[in-house]
Amino acid sequence: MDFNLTIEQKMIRDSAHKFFAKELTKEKIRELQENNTEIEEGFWKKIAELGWLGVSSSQNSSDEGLSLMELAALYEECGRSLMPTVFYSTIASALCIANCGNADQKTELLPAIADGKIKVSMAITEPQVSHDLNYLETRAQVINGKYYVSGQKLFVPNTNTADYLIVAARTEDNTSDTGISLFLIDKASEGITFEALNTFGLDSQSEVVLDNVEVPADRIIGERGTAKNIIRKTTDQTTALQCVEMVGGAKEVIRMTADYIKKRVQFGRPIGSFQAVQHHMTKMAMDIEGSYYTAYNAVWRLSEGKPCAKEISLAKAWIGNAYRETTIMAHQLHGGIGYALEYDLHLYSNRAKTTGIWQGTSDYHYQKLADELGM
Amino acid sequence: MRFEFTEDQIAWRDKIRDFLRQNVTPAIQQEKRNSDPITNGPLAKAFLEKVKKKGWIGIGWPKEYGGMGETMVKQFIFLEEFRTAKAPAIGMTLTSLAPTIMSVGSDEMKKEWIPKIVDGEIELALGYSEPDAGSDLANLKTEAVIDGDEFVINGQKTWNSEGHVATHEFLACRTDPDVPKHKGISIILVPIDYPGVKVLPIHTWGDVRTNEVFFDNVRVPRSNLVGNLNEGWTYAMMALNLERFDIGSIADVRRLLIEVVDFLKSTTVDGEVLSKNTIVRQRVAELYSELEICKWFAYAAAAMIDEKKFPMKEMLMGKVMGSELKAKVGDIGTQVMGLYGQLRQHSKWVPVNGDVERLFRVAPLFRFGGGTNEIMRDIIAQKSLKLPREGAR
Ligand SMILES: Cc1cc2nc3c(=O)[nH]c(=O)nc-3n(C[C@H](O)[C@H](O)[C@H](O)COP(=O)(O)OP(=O)(O)OC[C@H]3O[C@@H](n4cnc5c(N)ncnc54)[C@H](O)[C@@H]3O)c2cc1C
Repeated sequence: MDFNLTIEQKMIRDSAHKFFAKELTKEKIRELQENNTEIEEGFWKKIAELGWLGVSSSQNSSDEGLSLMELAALYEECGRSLMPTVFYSTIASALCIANCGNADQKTELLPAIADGKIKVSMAITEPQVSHDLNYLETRAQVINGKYYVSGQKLFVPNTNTADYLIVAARTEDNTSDTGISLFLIDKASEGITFEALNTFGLDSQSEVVLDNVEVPADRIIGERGTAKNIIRKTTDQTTALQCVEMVGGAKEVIRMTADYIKKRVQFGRPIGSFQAVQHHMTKMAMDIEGSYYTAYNAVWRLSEGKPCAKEISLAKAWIGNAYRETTIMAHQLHGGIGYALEYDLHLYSNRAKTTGIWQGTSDYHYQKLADELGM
Repeated sequence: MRFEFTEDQIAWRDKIRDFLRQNVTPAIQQEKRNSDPITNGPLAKAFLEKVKKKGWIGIGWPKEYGGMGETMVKQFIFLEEFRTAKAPAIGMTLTSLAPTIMSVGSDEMKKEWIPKIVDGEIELALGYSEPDAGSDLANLKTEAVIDGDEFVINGQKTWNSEGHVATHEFLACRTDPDVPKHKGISIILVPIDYPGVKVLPIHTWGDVRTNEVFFDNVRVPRSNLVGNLNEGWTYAMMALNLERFDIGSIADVRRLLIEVVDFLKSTTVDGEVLSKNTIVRQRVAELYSELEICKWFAYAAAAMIDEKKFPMKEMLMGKVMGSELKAKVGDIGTQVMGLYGQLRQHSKWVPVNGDVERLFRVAPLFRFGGGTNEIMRDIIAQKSLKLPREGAR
């Protein structure tokens, strides 16, 4: 056993730490969230130059892009710095294409994403579909060799910045495993409308309505009818990575809180010296220490190609609760100050709530875990 | 024993309910959502005028001050019905500060101030907390020095919630620096528009505005002293107990849980009506049970007050459990909604008008406000369970 990151992984984490400290200040995060604006092109270019938008198409070797473990090291720092979610939705799309795109799509799209020239986002969920694609209602009809996609998508991230959407649509009218396909749709296509949602995390999400949107047949990702597999594979990766992001955020909350309770004096003593406060603090630290191992274990198993359905669900279930509960307790230990908008804590509380639900709530994943246990 | 209201109490509840049904419009509720909940908009003001016309401003007040001299149980029923109806709240000036003035103020003060409070001409902000005096409230440093017929006040308050809408501060000041901390504090009513008072906003996660307030040589007549000099700590604790009692009321949360259930019953995700999901059902049933249990603390406390007992344990347990339940219902209530649970107020698709996510953001305040739950647990352990105090504070 070895619980250390490799030298390369550490280098990524350290350089991300330094880079974000300078380039992703809390003032910037607030400005982006409050005005609902996009991160400036200059920032995006820089992270492209650092190689952080390129994913490896063979996952555990580092050919042209980042491996999953390298991504994880990066995600931990992203979580700590509250990286705008456009990064995550772009990486998710890149992973999706890397996993299952055909050779042409990989050569066309992955370098463009890696260079920061295009952004892509996934439009899968619908008002009545969160996880089970069998209930998908968005449809793609073929007429004269072209597809026409119609339907309603909900909770689609970062449509404002995306150039393309990867849209899941029904290509067969049955619930077989081959009934759904993924389409790469140019956002500027005729027939697409967007309506922004106001979200708890102040991240960008939209409702997307597609009305007979024309898509050439070569814009199917991978092959027709393979969406379920592609999404399963991609979701496993993005869920495990999100767990590491959450750990990064929670660690920062713990650091912030520990610093504060050492300094804050009441009754003539630092409040951190009260036993009640110490026990709360220790509970938070234990929850997140456990989260750290379980999150990296999930990513590691994935990157080694080992079976990991249990580990991913376990990680997301545990961390989904742990991150949020850590922020709730951090509010308590800060008292009034942590509640003020000018203090940074609420930025993490917002993200903890969102990530606790995004990619499946803890309850969902515990149910899934029970399934995996053969119950 | 009797675990239900009496007929008289039920009649009272129904009377309030009828009034609220007719007068709390969706527009009033929306106005409250749109603004800082402390600041009453025009609709809320008009509504509260009607409440006043009903004679319901001082249900528990003595009759001589225009009150109804009613029991604590009836006051509590009133509070719960207002919360359940999502009605604009009757402010703390009327519910906790005016009663304190009535019981400890001089006759002149009562004669002069109470009618103005009833008319809404005077509204009070609660001036206790300071940067270095939170849980350790007795550590407050804002000083009031007697100079002839006046107090001269210098210092700083923080988290002063009503400072931007109130007319006066109910201000805890140090009037004797040479005695033990609790014994040198007095309460003085300070007009906020006097020279030397400065109010600066603090905006919070729960969308509630609160303030920092600075006092620079503010001169106030000595007749603005509430009760006796240097007895302010006792008065502050009287008012604080009422505040804790108030936090222990979770009627609004009970209503929200029912609204969550309505959403779950009418929403299908992944081929399943959410309310039919086993885990969702378990979660909701747990929350419901906890809310029911918490309810008894508050009712028992109210009934005990009417029996002239001091329900310290009941009030504090209600405060601790009620405040933590608020967070829990806000949290689990949004989680069981799945992706819909991560939408915010004023969003298309947001369930229950966003009142559940809002509860999650409002909840922390109740847990550390009005005396933090750590301190409340200390007091329960030491005063009620008689555990030794050494090593705590
Ligand atoms: C929105 C808002 C509105 C408010 N409105 C008002 C108002 O109108 N008027 C007013 O006067 N105040 C108001 N308050 C202040 C509120 O009452 C205080 O925040 C509260 O008393 C806690 O004090 P503090 O914030 O300084 O926290 P601290 O006292 O610094 O507490 C921080 C943490 O340390 C813990 N702690 C402290 N001492 C001990 C101990 N001995 N043992 C164990 N744990 C301990 C606490 O439990 C808490 O978890 C408001 C606050 C907010 C945020």
